[in-house]
Amino acid sequence: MRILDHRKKLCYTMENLTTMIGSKGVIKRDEFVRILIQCLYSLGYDKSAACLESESGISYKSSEFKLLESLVLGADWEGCINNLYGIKEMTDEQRDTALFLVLKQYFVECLGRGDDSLALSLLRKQISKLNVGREKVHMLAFGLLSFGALALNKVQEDNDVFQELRKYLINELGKVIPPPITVPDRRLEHLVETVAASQIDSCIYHNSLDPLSIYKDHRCGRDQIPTETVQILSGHKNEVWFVQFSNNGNYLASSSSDCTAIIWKVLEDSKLVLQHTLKSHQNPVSFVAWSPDDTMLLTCGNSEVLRLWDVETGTCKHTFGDNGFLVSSCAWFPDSNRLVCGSSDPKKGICMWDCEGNEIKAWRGIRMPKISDIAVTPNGEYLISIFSDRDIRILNVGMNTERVISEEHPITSLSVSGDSKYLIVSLNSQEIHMWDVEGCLEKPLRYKGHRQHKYVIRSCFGGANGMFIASGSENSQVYIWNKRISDPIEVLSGHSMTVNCVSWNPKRHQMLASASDDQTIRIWGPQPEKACNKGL
Amino acid sequence: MKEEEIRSTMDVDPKQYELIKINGKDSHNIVLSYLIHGCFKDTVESLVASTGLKVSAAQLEDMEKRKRISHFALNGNALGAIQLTEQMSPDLLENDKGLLFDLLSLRFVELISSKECTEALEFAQAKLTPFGKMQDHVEKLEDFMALLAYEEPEKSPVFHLLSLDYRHHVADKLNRAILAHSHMPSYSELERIIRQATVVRQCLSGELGKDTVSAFSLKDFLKN
Repeated sequence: MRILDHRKKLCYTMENLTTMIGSKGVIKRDEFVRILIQCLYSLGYDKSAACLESESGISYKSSEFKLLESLVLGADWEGCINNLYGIKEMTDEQRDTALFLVLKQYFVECLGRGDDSLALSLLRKQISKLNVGREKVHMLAFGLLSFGALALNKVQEDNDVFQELRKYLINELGKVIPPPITVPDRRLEHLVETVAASQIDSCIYHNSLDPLSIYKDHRCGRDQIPTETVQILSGHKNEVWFVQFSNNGNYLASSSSDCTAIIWKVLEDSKLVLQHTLKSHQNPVSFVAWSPDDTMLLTCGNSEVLRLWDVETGTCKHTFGDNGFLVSSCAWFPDSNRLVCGSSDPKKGICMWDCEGNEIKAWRGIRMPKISDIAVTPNGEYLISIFSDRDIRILNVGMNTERVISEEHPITSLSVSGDSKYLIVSLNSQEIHMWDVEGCLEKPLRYKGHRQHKYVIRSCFGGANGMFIASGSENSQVYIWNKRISDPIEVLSGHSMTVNCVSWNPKRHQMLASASDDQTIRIWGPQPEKACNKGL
Repeated sequence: MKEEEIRSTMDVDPKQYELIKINGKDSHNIVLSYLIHGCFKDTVESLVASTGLKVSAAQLEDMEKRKRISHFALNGNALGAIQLTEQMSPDLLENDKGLLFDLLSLRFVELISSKECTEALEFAQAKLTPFGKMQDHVEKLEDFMALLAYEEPEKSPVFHLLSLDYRHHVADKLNRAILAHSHMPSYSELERIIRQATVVRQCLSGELGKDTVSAFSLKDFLKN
């Protein structure tokens, strides 16, 4: 063992050999220094970069590239072409691209000198034979008519202009010629970013959009997500069935089998206070929906009509349909003017209204089944509804095309992610399934661990990047998953009866609300910093 | 016949066609107009001799001129075609830049086809450059210039510009323009009748306005 250690030490002191660096010995020292030099140049520290080149004896530009550079600057076009043919590391495609760049410059310089026939000959004998797009070749042919067609301003032979173009050509060649003759742009930056991204990916509690520190390996502790009850709201007089934060995160709406809905305000210090109680429904209110601009709230219930409320005053602005029009759920379009609602009465279908109560569109008919849940993606492109308990219908509003995903078990809730890309459904088989809206996934991602058999239990997306999923459960607990893992990362206890619904604050990423049959709403927050376990 | 009348006769037993009276003179005139349009001078003279129809000397001379112009355009003398056109219908080409461009590009193609590429380039630089600044023609000009890039233009992506079909297309266009310029119909009656019959059939079979419509087929027409 000791003899090997000795040998390693010797290696590190012999600087003129191609040695390895790093504890695993898989990184070449020369390459490492070269990307350091590139990094210094790209940050603007030319003197330091040149100094490092001289001290280390390693040049940023390889000798092959320097040769090519001098051939270009000296306008030795034949030499350039031969040089490019001599680079074995290039694929044929790369070589043709590089040759085109060089020949194009040669062509342009011929035209600039007025040597039309040489330019024509280049085009016919060499350029059109290259395997590059024909539009490129045709563009040069058009340039024979007028120099201006090539988007160059000066026509006469002007050495300065040509020198500039040649420098630009060298730059472009640098992007086409592969390593090790060149180094890909910003290589060190890319390597560090890759590591940082991978650390964030494997950080299961990661819940912020802040930049990382690269001083230490990144690992969040569970103090990043809500795990403790910070407040209990007892405004309702019966089971609380639904909660949802407003889009700006400043309000929470809740609805209950006590036939009311309540709007709570979120204060600066993250405490919630009761703002308005919305009374006028005759039956339990099972669903609310905030308008995208948060000025209005819709309320409805399985045996109830749809009502529109003004958030500031707490007054009812409109009731849709007549007494017989029972709406099970509703959703807004991004313009905060059009809304859709789905009826639990088969044949009533889906209706689109505006805020004044004018019907804009309806999907009705004998074939329309019962709709239990409806949602619109935040970008307004898709209308998603749950038909007959088990079918997820995704309608592309603009193109009027739809696709259907059929689940095997009854669906009790539908939620759409903030970036409009994903949807989750809660199933009575005790699983939550995540599908993508555009339809690339053949099978859903599954999340389990909670209890759901008989009741409507709802789930939602949450967290800084929509990285988490939360759900209620029949065993009175709140469950939290990281989207990448199918088992829960946290189980929150506190409620004494079934938790029906959860909502994650879209702006305060560490605030979660849950609604329970125990007539309370709990607000959850992170563990206070002093008591937390940093790292794992 | 008005459209409704045509429709009702087509619904009826085809033998009813035989009950419709047609003036013999009309038939002759239809054929004559087609021949005049296509500059078939000798055939016209022959038809006149056998039917007693009248054709004026001016008409005959007009046909002769148009025939020469078309011939030049189709057979490698675009410049000759331009010259004769300017004599016959002054300021026609002045006012129709598109047509002038078509004829000049024919000349360009002639030079390319005879492998005189340097001359072709010089001709383009001298005569075609102004069209490069016109929105309507610049794309076509790009296509023509592309012919210069290939040692074997007939194998290039723009080979269709060298074809006889294309020359016919330009010659026809020129012929119609000359006729219109002298206030004569630019489409012969025969052609117009065929077009109308096609539209009527497309309309009846519900094809009109759709993406794929079936063209006129003489065989099918005669069968019905």
